[in-house]
Amino acid sequence: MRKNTEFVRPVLKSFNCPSCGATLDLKAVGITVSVACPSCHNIIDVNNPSLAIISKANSKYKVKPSIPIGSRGKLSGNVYEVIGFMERKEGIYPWKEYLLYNPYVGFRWLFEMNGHWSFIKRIRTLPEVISSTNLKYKGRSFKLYNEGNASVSYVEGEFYWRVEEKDTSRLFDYISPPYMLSKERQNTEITWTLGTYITPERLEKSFKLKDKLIKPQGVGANQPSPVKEKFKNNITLAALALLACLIMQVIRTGTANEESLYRSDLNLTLDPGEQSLVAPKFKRIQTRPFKRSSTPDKISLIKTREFQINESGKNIKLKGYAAVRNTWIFLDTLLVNAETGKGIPLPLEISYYFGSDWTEGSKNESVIAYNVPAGTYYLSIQAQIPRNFSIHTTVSVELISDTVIMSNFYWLLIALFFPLLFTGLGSYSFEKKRWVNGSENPYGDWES
Amino acid sequence: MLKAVCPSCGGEIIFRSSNSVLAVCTYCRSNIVRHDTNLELIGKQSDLLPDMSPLQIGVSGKYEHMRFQVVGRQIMKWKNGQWNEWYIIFSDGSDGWLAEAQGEFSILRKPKKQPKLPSPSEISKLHTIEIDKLHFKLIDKKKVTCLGSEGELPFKAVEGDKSLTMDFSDGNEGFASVEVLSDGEVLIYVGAFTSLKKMSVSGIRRFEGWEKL
Repeated sequence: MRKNTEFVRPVLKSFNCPSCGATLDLKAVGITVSVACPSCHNIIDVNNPSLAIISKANSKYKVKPSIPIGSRGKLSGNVYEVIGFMERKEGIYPWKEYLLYNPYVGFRWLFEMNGHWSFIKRIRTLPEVISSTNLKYKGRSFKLYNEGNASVSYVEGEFYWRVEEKDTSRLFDYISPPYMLSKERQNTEITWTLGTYITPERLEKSFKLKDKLIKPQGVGANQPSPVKEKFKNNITLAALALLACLIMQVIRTGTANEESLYRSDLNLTLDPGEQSLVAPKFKRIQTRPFKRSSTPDKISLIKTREFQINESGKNIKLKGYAAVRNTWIFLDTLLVNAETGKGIPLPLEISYYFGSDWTEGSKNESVIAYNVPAGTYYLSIQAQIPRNFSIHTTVSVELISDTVIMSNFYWLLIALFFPLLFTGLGSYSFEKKRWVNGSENPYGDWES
Repeated sequence: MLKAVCPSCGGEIIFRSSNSVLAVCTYCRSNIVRHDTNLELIGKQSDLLPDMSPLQIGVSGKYEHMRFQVVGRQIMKWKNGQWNEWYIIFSDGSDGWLAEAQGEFSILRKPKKQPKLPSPSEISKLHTIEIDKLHFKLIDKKKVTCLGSEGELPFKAVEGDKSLTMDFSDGNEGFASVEVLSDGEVLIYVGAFTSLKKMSVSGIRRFEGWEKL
């Protein structure tokens, strides 16, 4: 832009109201078509050289604009002046519209309802119609929020169209927070606008308002949901965490040694060929209660051959299988370091009960010890078996080092799910409140 | 460019475009029509009422990478308002219009290929039109009167001239206009919505209090 251009006074058109004689000053000279007299509120046709009165106002009804006419503020990089104000209604629900003007940029609007605001501009690119309630505009999906008839209930200031009180038009609002697409049909003319949610704080600052704007009530139609953002973020985070864990789990599965240190089918009453002995004076403390309590009457003590754990810090899993049928077996196992005599407990209870339509427990159980130091070890197994235990029941044990533990992974999944649940519920309730004022409420009937 | 002297007041008259037919004398508001060799005076216009348009004769800008200059204007009026049609000439000698209505700007040029049109009696019933392989839908139709003109224009558009204007949209920024003049001549233009910023205009009017664009 040339800097040396001389500035000229803005063109002002002043005239007296043909009804009450008050002086009126037009701002958008050459564009403004109708103006509402600030003192008598009659609407005057300035397009008509004889300044005809378009409509007589209901002088008793007055609405105060939250941002006074003549205020200037910067929005989206341009300064605008409020030159017109109107209240419109759909049934008993009123809202306020402010016409903004900048001679170089043209017109914009501010929309105010229940303390929620939108900055609006006319669009020329028509949205793509997906269905009767869905639109697509610039890659975004919009959903029909409200459809209704709007009528003008109060007017102040100037407008570039012929405003009449009681003017009615059909309105369709589609939302994709923070945006709202609106289609307005008056007679045959259809206008599309795009609104963007704007906070009252920003407007107070931008227009340097002396009086604070009212606090927004409820949830605005196109108010961006802070919870939804969090929810979306949580979904993304959870997905990323899940992916990371999956990768880690896969790597772990791929690199785990899963070395079988010891494996044997145990003979609980007889010498299984390994060193074993019957301990008649064996005294033990039950570490956890049995599901079916019956006094053990057989105790067998087995000491396995020695084996080597080569690497420190790995986990050791004891797997047990017993073909138990409506009974239990308890293997009070110690992983004993042959050099130090220190034992790591690996208690294993296998119980399996069933009826015609139920089962409880499992024939397969396992128990894990973590962070086991390297060394020479043997297993010391004290097996407790109930009276009804069949001699022919097979009991197999296997000791595996460096095994992949899936339970950690499952716990993590549950942990990831909780934040999703909370933010998801929060988001749901926010969205539910949003739709309370819309005619297309997918959550059910209008609430009072 | 043709420079001449106003037959009425002796002031300088310039026809920048060879397409221009009418020039309104800056000094005495006489309408001067150019014929092959001579100038014809066809009455005077009243002064144009001032408005807040940021445009004026002499403003330059660009559209589709071509520079243009504003050389004339006609103010159009219909029952619910008025707007400006600025006559522009491009650096390649072609011409077009910069329409300014309700604070919105659009640039219109002659189609590359003249579209097929219905007969003059049927033309006002047009609902869709295909211009340069683009489809346009009627969005507005109104009877208009010329409120006045200034500078140079490609036809005899003077105060009081009546015509029918039909606006078409391609559902995007694309815009087309069909104008049926009172003598039956049909003018077709095609273009797009734009803005002062997009046109990178210079030489516009600067208003006090509106220092920042």
